[in-house]
Amino acid sequence: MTTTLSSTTVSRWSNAALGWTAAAVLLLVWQLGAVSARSPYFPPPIDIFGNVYDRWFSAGLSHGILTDSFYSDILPSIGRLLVGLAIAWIVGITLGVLLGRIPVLAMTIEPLLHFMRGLPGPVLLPLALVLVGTGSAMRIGLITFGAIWPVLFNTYSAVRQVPEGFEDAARSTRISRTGMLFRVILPSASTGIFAGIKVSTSLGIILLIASELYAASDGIGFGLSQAQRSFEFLTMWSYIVALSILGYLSNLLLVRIEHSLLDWHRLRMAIDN
Amino acid sequence: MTSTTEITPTRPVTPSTSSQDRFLRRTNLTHLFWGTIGVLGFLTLWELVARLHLLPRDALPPASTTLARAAELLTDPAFLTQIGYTLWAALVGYAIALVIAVPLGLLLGLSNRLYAATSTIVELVRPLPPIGLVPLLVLVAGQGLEMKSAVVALGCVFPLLVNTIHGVHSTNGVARATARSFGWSPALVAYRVVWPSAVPSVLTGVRVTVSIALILCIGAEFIGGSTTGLGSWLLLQSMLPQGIDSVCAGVIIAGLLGLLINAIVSVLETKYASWARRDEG
Repeated sequence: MTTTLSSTTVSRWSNAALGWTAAAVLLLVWQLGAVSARSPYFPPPIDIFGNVYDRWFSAGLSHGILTDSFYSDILPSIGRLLVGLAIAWIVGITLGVLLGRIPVLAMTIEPLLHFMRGLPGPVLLPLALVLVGTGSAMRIGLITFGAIWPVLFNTYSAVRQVPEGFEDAARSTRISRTGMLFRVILPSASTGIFAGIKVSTSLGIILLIASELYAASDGIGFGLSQAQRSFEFLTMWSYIVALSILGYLSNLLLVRIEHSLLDWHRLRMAIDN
Repeated sequence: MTSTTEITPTRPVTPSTSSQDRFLRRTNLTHLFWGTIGVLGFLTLWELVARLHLLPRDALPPASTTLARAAELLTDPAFLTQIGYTLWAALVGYAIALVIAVPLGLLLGLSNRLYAATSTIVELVRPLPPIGLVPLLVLVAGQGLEMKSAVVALGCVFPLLVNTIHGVHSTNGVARATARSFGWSPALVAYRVVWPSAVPSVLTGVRVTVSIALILCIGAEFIGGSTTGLGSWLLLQSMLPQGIDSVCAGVIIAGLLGLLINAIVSVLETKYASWARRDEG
């Protein structure tokens, strides 16, 4: 695989500089355009970032920087997302491994799983409201339900494709069943599993916001819908920025974890090439 | 090697490749048999849970009632019109995303300078969940088709863009250089060399985003307070006293719709990108 990008350090730095300059220019254009157009829908970015700072980060050093509204707006959302995703990952990986190892089980429930995967998550919101109610459990359940499929299907197909030679080689060392699972199958399937985890995280955020925009009492989605009702565009933009940061940070975190966990894998790929 | 135990392999160790899938050895008939058992088992379980009132909130209608209602809905023109509204909005938004993302992705993939200049902006804007823009878009674009399509387009444009750029970057450099040395123009190289090798990656993007498009469209109807479409229909039914049967039936139909769309995309993918998968394996 040949990339046409030259990979010398100098050009990498100049590319990064170019990228950030372009982003800064775009912000500046937005700022100037917003100030001169005075559109209520699109406030200038300086006002937005000021509002973000005042709203969530202005408590001062002695109070730990974060304001009270940070704890009522942002933290509940992060908590729901983390719990929902954690359940989805654990259940998804476990089921995926089981399906990948037990063909009869896979053949039996595969049609059902394909159906569930095709089910658009937000459709379940009205059903969940009636069956589960409006509490946090409903929102976490919705996140889990939506986020489980990419993990499950990726694990399943990655486990199916673990080369039989690996297993035979491991078996010849009289490896235990748990050893086989944790030292052969899971590591071999790990890149596939991680790809699923990444997709599931962005789906989880969509479902988190969707569920919080409806019948909630706290969280980012709730703040957003409150601001919409009172036509506070600046506040809405603050929540949108918060969402963007949440998405950006979660992606960054996953990429970091992937790099440290799968470093050996990249090494192997490099040797293979 | 001082092994004290004698090792007898249970089966001959054959060199195996990762594309060798041991599940594919089973026949379609076996798949069909077990699959039918799975579906019937699930429906029976559902029926029992509902009939014996095993759930804490006793609202779930039995499977038989739900399926009967679903069959009724599928012949009801008023309901089918609502599905039509949803599909149309998703399609319009998706078309907009494709028309923007694919040419732009080709351009950004081919030009290193443009790619470097835009990558930071893309990385900063991409993580924004489009559903979070619904409240703003409702105030700017209303609650109808424009708003829904905008949400779908915003949600699908970035994954498609990133996949197209990735596809262009994975083009074989030697192939590109060879084509150039034939004296082909850059446009011809892009059309005959770069585009064909980017297609599989673009189709991967399509497969991922098509189901997201449906999710976003229904979510936008639901949250944006649309008056048309499957999402708003479901919301309305959930408020009616006996509406839970219809809600469950609607969910089943939405699942089948998603299944159908996924099937269509995977047929497209096998048709236009199977050569690449064989190549990679």
